[in-house]
Amino acid sequence: MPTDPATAALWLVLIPLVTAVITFLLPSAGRCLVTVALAIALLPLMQLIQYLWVVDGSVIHALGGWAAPLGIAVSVQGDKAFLLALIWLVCVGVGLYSLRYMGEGYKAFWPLWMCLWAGLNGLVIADDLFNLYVTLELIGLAAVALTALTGEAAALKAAVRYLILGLTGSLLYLLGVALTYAAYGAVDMPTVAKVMTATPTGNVAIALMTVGLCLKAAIFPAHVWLPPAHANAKAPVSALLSALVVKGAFLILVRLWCDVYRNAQTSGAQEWLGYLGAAALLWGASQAIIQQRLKMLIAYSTVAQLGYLFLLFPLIPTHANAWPGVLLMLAAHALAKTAFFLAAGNVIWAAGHDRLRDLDIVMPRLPVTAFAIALAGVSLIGLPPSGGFLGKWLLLGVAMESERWWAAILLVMGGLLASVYIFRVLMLVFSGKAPSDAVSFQAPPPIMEWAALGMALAAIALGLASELPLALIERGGRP
Amino acid sequence: MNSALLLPMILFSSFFTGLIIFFLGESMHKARTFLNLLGAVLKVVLVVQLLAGVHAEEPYHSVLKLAPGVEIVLTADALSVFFVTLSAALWLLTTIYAIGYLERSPNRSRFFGFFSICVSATTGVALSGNLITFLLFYELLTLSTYPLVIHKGGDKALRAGQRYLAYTLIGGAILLFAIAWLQSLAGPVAFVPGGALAPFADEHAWELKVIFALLILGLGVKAAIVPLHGWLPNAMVAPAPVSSLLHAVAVVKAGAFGIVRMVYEVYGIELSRDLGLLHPLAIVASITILYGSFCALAQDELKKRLAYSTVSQVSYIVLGAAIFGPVATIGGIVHLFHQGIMKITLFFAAGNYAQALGIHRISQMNGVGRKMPWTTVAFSVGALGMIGVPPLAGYVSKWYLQKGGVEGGEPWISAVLSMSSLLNAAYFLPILYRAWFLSGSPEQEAASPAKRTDWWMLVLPPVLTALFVVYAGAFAETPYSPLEWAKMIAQREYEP
Repeated sequence: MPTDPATAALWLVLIPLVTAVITFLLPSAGRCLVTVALAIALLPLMQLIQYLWVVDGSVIHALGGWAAPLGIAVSVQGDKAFLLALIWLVCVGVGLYSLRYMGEGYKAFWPLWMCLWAGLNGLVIADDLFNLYVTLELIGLAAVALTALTGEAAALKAAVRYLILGLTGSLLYLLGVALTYAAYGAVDMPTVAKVMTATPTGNVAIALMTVGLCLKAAIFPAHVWLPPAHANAKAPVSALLSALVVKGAFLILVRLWCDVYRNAQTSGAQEWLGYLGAAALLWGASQAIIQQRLKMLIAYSTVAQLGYLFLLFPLIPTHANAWPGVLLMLAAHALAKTAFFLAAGNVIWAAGHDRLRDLDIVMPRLPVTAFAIALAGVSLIGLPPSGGFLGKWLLLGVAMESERWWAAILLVMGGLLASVYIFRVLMLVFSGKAPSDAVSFQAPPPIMEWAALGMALAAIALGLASELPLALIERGGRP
Repeated sequence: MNSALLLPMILFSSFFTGLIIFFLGESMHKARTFLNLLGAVLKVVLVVQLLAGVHAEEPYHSVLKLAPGVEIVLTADALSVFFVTLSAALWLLTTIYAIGYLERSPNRSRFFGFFSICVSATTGVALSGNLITFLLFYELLTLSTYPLVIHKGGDKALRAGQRYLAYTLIGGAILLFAIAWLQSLAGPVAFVPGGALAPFADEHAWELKVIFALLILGLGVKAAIVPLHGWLPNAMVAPAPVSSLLHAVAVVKAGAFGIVRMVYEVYGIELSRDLGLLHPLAIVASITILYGSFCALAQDELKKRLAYSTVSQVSYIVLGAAIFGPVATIGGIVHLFHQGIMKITLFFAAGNYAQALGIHRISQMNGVGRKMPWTTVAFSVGALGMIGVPPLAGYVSKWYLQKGGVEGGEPWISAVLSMSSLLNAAYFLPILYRAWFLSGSPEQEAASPAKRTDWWMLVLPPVLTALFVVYAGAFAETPYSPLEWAKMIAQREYEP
């Protein structure tokens, strides 16, 4: 295992990549290998966090021995380490669940998932625009393949839609990167940040990249591909897509606007991202409220929750609490949404369908799953104590400090709208309908129920034991 | 006992037992009863210890830091201990009552689990040392009472539950907004005697006024201030022990207690007066007192009449907070306790009538006094106390409020209180008359209460609380009465 913390960061990309290759070659050992990979990955992760904790700086590493701009730079600061840990935690939850959930027919799941994990870790640590493109493509293709895993018509249709919009997004992004390289002769972020100005070329480049990334981040009105894709995938896949994949593009957007383009910010352009967030919040929640299927409801909830991340986008570089608030929201949503989708998987396992109308005889028989949904719901609504509450509280403070009253009101209203769709599901638990033998019921394996509950508990714990993660985020600067 | 540990232990004595109860099988009746009583008794023991400590002015303070400017703080001052004592004592009685009441009904583990968490949340509301902690437990209270309200299941209960959630979650959201706003003006706000906002009054006067209105809006939903009371009569679909708890200690009390906290320990009574906030609050409270009583008159369903009576009576507490002067403060705060013991007696009795004779309506109550003498005596004591007949507890509260109104320069309060007492008499005395002096139809007369060996679990709690109603009124001037404790609170609020 590595001794150098910068190498540790690279191991976090290498471990899943190598596992992906081996599981591809030895599909029957997928379960076993992935478990080992998750366990091993804990070592470099802990080493990285420990290093940042003790030294309080950022870890910068140049691959191939050349420094930027010639080499490939990666860097890890506290916020990135936080994200790496979050990705790992979600993967552990999904992994525990998949041990039982993913039957023999889904051997492709393991290598694809490992590619996805490698891509996400790479996206977090990469420090140049082209590498980010590579990770985006890796994530995007793995995600599309995972969506299509069931082979059912609805899933395939959704996957094709996802593929087309995803590819359009990455092409637009690549075009922006090419323009940047043509104009400034560099693609690594620190260098570009120094030279990029608000020239027409720079503006067009940033606009192309932004539009491309917005497509991938499924921010309103580019969210159209998300609900069918997330709702028709297998439960662990839905969890990964909603919890992590859409956040990847968002993270690049933050870095683009807060690191790279900071010197050349044209006034008001990024305000529009805030308005899109507001629209996503309202549209996603109101769509979730009227859905007839549980997984569609959860998917639209993701559309709404992404709105929170964008709502105060323009304030991220200027307000001390904005970035920690956004990161907490992001993490709380990732954990809660994983729990929610895994719980939905349990419901489908038990009932054979996810029509909300007919679930009132099934939900009372799944108390652990119901608890998972309730706790995840607490965090999604933003009730205390939960990661969702704490994140919202920090953002609310920022909104009020900067006198963005519309954003403050939306933050509070978003919670109320979320409570409407969350309690539509929870009400089913208390229907008081006696379980009837006429309806088929297949009890899900305990590990699947507890994996969902564990993720939900993590979302709650994030709101109680938040001092440590928040301190970690502060290590080594902010965007 | 280590004073830093005592408060979390009081909180968790019911929380952990609640969590364990969730995992007990439906048939493990004995284990569940044991855990329920263990938690309740343990809590009472710990609270007694706390009472002694706070009386001796020992400081209690426990902190959990979450983020910059976000701390979970538990403290115990005279006011919080007053509320904690009420909830701990009444919880023990309600637990006994609920075990008897829910005998052989389904989903008892779920019920008692949420029941315990609900009481922990109430305790948390009482022990909160700052606004954000208060908000945390206030919302936890909403979440843990929802499953209790809709416990019976079925469409009617679910609709009532939806309504309950709609009101309380919107109230909670308004509260969140107001607290965040206050924090952006004044930093984290802790509860301190005399209030903490006076330094910001000059610069942010109008903002503080708006925030105060928002706080009252948010808290008023739970305190059932008119016109925010719409959820309460509907929530009567809940089983009797839940109604008792909701009305006497948990939900409505948390709202009223919150308003008392805001007036005395966030804004401070002097600042509240200087900003001109008290007068409108007194008017709102008076309207609620009268409106609730008028609505109660029109109800035939016993529990609904009691519900509207709660709407009216809880605003006595708000009224006490809305009049400047220690005498009114004493009247309002002591009513926090008195209303609790009187109302829980009434609800216990109402539950007994329903359980034993299937009586839900006042028109069916002819002659119940002879069939269920103990329950009806307790009910009568509670009702007379509510009317304010000396020497019962309600008389003490009303006397102090009336005197406080005169001293605080709001003499019209006397008219409101007299009117309310008249109305209380008008809706309670006919019930007592029916119960004791009328006889029912032949088939009603033929029905006799079902014989049960555990009937004492249903009769003992109301008799005990009724006895305490007598004690709190007749011995109000003795050292260990609620009144004396309320006097101590008022003294500490006015001379910080």
